[in-house]
Amino acid sequence: MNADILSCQELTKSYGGVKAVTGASFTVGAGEIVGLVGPNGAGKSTMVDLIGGEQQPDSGQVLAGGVPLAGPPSRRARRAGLARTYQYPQVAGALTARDNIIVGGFARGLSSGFALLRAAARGVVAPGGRALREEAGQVAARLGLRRIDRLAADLTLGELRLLEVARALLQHPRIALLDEPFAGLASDGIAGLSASIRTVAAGGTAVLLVDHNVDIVASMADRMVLMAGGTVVFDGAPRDCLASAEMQAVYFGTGQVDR
Amino acid sequence: MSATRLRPLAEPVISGALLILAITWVGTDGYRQDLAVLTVTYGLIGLGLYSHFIMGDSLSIAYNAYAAIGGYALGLVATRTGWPLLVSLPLGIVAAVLISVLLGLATRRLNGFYLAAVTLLFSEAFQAWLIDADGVTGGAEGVILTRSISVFGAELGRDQIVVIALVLMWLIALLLSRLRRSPFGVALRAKAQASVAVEAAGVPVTALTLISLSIGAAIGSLAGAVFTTANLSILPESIPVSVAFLAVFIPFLGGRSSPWGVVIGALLVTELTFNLNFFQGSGTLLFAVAVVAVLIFAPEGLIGLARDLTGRLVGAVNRGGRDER
Repeated sequence: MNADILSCQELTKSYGGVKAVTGASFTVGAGEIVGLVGPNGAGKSTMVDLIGGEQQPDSGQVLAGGVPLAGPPSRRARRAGLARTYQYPQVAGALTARDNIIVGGFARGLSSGFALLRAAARGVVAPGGRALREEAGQVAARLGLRRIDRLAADLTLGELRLLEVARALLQHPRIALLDEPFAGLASDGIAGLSASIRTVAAGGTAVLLVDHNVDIVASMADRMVLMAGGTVVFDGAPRDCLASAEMQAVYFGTGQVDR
Repeated sequence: MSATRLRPLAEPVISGALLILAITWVGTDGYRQDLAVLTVTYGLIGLGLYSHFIMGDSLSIAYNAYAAIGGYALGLVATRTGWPLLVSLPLGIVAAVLISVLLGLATRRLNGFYLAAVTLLFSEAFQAWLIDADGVTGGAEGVILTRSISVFGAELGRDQIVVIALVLMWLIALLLSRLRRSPFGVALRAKAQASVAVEAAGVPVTALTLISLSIGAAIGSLAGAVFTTANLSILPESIPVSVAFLAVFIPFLGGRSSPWGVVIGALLVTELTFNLNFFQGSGTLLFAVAVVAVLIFAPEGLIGLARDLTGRLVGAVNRGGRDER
């Protein structure tokens, strides 16, 4: 087994007295696809925010390659090669899909504010960016995102999810957090996205796949982490997870079905 | 050579041709030179705003202060020291950039209305300081230059100053247009709408904001430098706060999709507020009406309107020739 690229250790987070996550731990290895599943309120989104740096844990820590991952999201992206997508896509509607995507590639070369200053100076002299635009086109084509030169505001929700994945892939990430990437996707979109996620993982990226759709996650994950009530209740092979008593209890036992 | 190879040349060539036309039209006519200087002053303030208001979508109304800094730096250095323009111009730029960065850091948690309000307050305070600190700035009398600015020992005549000013505005608009298309410009524009995602992708967004502010302040200080050089004076009221307000609407009037919209907007503003003064000072009112009309009927400005009309024309011609796709 490869080294753990991403490791969550005993993460706890409360929002005003309500415990969202309590002592949650799991790991994702290099090249591994781990599916994080669970019903609404299980704590999946909180875990994504804690790893991504949008929220700070009350206790516990996130390690990337054995080193504590701290600071704001931009530093995590630069230091640990962390890339993410959002449950509610965060895109600039006034820009084309392609321009939204190249932001990920632009960020790749930035080590500091001075690098940003150099990028501004370069931009004034020669706008360039042709290589990034071409790479954006190739990644989008692999994902099945066709309307790449349309304004992002004109895209469907499914296309926006593909756009976000493409933007994350342009970061050449070591860790990819994909928050509900399949929601709202048509079947051909699902096929393109699944293939791309497998390709990325094959390249050594640790992929954390968060989704409501247990069947899709199970079909492509190497391992599944099931959360309920803010804790990890099962961590193992997809087949075992689907057959587990915990799965039955979480999804069917209490009458709450959320798929 | 293919058409795609030639495309990058189209912008500088076409705008350069228009620049030469403008320079020829202005010529040595004193009245037209006044128009040109005012257009460049408005244009440079508007281009400064373009950098972080239109591309970065955060509104700072400190542009009259940045312009005043550029103007005063030039005037004070010229009257009190023997230093050349090549010192005073960068001095003004550096001072304006420093103040913009400090102001930007102090207000980095603010946005929208609050940022605009705080920077407006700063503008007012700065103008009051210009009047108060008469030991430094010459107080209400301002700085009067007794002779023209000299470059490499040669004093600049008014004809030369006007040409330099027009070329400067052209160059800044051209460079900003390139910056806008570059990955940096794309990231800046993306930040305006999806700050969270741009930050998570690894872009230090505070630095991004500060750099766009600095670029804007530097361009704004050039506006003051042009004003002082052309008018041989700079007073606290030379570039009032109302100009910063006016400048906010210049890109809307011309079109926000390109820095050239600012140049078109500056031309219009000059025409409306200066040339139509026979309406007894109703130029500003006319400008306000024009802005409202443009915002309602052509939200993308005159450039957007032109693009729209061209699109329809081309569409109509194509439909005449063949069936719709």
